[in-house]
Amino acid sequence: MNKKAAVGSAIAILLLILPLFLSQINDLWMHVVIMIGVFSILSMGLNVIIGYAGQFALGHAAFYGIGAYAAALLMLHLDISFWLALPAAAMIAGLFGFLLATPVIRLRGDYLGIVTLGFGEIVRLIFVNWVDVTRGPMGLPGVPAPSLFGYTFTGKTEFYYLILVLVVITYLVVNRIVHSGIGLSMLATREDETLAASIGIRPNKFKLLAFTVGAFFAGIAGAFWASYISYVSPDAFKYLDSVNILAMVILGGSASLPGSILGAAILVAGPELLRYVNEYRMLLLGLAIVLMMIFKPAGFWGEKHRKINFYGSGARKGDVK
Amino acid sequence: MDHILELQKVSVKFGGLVAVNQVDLTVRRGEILSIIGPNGAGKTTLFNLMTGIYQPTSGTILFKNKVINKLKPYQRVDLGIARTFQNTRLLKNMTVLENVLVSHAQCNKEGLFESIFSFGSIQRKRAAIVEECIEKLAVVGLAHKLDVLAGSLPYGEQRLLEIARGLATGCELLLLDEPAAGMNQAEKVQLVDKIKQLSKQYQINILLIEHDIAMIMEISDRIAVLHYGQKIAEGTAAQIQNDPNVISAYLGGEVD
Amino acid sequence: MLLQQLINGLSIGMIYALIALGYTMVYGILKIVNFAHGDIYMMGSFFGLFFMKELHMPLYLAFIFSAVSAAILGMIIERTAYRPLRKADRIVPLISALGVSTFLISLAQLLWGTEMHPFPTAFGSKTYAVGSVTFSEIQILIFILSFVLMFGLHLFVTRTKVGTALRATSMNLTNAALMGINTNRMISLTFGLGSALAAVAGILVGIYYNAVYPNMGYMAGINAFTAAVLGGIGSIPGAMLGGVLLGLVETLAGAYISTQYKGVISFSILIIVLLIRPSGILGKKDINKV
Repeated sequence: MNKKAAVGSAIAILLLILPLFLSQINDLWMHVVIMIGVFSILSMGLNVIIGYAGQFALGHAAFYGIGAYAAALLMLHLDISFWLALPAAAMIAGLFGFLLATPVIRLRGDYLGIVTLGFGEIVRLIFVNWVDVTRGPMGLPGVPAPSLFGYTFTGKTEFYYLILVLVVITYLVVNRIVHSGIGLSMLATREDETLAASIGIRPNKFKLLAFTVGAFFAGIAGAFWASYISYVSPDAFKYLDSVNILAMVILGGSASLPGSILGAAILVAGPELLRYVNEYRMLLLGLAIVLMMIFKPAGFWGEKHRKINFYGSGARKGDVK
Repeated sequence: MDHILELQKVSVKFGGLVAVNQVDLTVRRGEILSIIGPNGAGKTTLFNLMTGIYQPTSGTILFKNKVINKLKPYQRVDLGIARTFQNTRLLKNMTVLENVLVSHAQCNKEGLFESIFSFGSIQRKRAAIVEECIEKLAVVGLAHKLDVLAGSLPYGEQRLLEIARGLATGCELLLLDEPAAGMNQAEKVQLVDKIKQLSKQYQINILLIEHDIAMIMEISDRIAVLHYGQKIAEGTAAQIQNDPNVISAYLGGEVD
Repeated sequence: MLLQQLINGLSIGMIYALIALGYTMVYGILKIVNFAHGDIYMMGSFFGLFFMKELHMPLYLAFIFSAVSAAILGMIIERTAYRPLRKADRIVPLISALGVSTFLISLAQLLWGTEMHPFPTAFGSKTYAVGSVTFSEIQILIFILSFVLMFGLHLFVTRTKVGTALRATSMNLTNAALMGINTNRMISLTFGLGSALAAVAGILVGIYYNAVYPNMGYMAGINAFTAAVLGGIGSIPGAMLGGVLLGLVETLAGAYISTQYKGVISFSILIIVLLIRPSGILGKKDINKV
């Protein structure tokens, strides 16, 4: 346990002083790191839906977009501070997660995939066509940056620390949810729905819960993004963006939160590191997805590595008789 | 309340096939009732009707004098009915302990805010739940294999795990579907003892499907015989053995 | 006016039917939705474009070569991206199909750019007026070609030995194998046939709208899948019926309600069918043995 604590502390310190190095080198890398944070939140949320509850959900970018637009509209039209807009947007996104999933929750794998894909597309169409509210393709510019005790965020460093806090909160909360009776029930639902029902688990309840949680955190990511870029447009929430987030979950490992962060890091930093293959980015992504499914369906940091005794840390402190 | 479970003229049809035909059945409190019959007689289908996986096309099912026809499987578990499956159904990628934990009512009913925000009390609660689950596993003799993946257990132990899982739901009626399948004679003797013991210890009524006649005779208070979806006989072991309908079902009728 | 819309609806409906056949046949045999099928349709269209523009083939040859190329492509995809995953969790081949789809779209973008390409043929633009309705040449071709192909498929599947083997495999994979049918070959054949039909549809659409572009498979794919589900997934006549119905409903809705949200209409049909009658119009109810 000591070794783990040491490594953990080292990583924590590194993360805290990172901006000092990066801002010297290149503003671009600060941006990359911040985006890794955003996508970590997105992929951890999607992992709850796909990895734990086993629901093949393809339209996740829609919840990201709903969070972004909700936050932007709240801040622009109602003059609400970022710190209120963020949780509000998250709750709106979560609500949409619940509403969109409810009619279709009993559909099986492949059908659910197409339907969620369709929902994602419809949401995007609404972003583009509901010009009165969203200004369509022109988007919503001028979303204000957060301000704390009178000081408004100006540089990337402040946003970095903010996203770091958000990622940590997301990780802690989602971690508690999945390492609990709820998480166990989701896994049971995922593996064998009929069996789950036969032991007292209400499958739809847990599937809906997964969607709501996933959408909620996507909303957090969206709200942050809106304020960070200060401009929201439908371009960031397309079908291929949903595929991207899905790929992060796959690469990192389903039912693994560290895996999702790893997946986000790979797929956000990768294209930057391999600049010269940027043209082939989607091509390689498609190939990578197929290869992962054939050779490593559990991802790089996947379930096989998860702790035994899933049910809350410390539940079994005593000796086994 | 004399009966814990009652089936009144229950039938179920799949397309043109009548799988269960006007079956009357009662399970009395405190008894172990066995259901026997040739393969395809509709025994598992009957279990599926009792647990809510199928809805009867006609007839009434009463549990503790309450009509449960329209209740979903997870609702029936809440009322106190649990079952094992003929083709062992386990969560193969989860450990033995986790399989039992997730069946425990207090585990799968844990609240969202509770799991996120409470710290001390939830630890204690979970520790208590774990204790109870380990106890159930001890009853079937699997307490030494808590962290083994369920899929890697030998077949006989998988069936025992199913029983422990059923116990963990806190049921009053446990439906066992061929619990002795794949066991050798010694294991079957042990199983009979275990079933009798847990039935007394936890005050559980047992409804059992089995093919091993000797085991049936040993363990059952009463026996019901199913054939082509109909109940053709019901009674004590002695009564069943001498029933002409039963004999002809198993051995064939008179040759003219 | 209404009659004209019906003709238009029927044209697009036949196209949907051709594509839907691929979805329904693959689903019938492997019980998975081939997410990449819409992109094979797109590739078929590009193949046609290539054969006519670069190799200066006449239209009828372009159809044949395109269909064959698409069939080969479909079979390669099955062999490399789906076959190794036959025994995995159900979600795994679905994700793989997603990867294939992404790959195909990016490949098309790399090879041919993202803009729309016109289809290099003068064929199809002539129109014939019969009373108050107008048929264009391409619409007539769509009707004739689709009908011939679908009828041919129907005969093949019901009257030939191979076709019967195909049906047997889609009824029960294991049993078909036990009876000596080479199920792998049947599966390849299914992919090949579905892809060839999709390619023909792709060329027809390329001519009809005079536009070929990498993202064209996306919407068409969703629509064709909706058609397959509407008619009854796994049923060949169902795909044909579903395609025609969807085409008609979509065109009429687009004409009399709104063109902007046309996609929403077909998508709503999908949801309603899946919720109320998931087995579709001609499909059989799935009985699950526990």
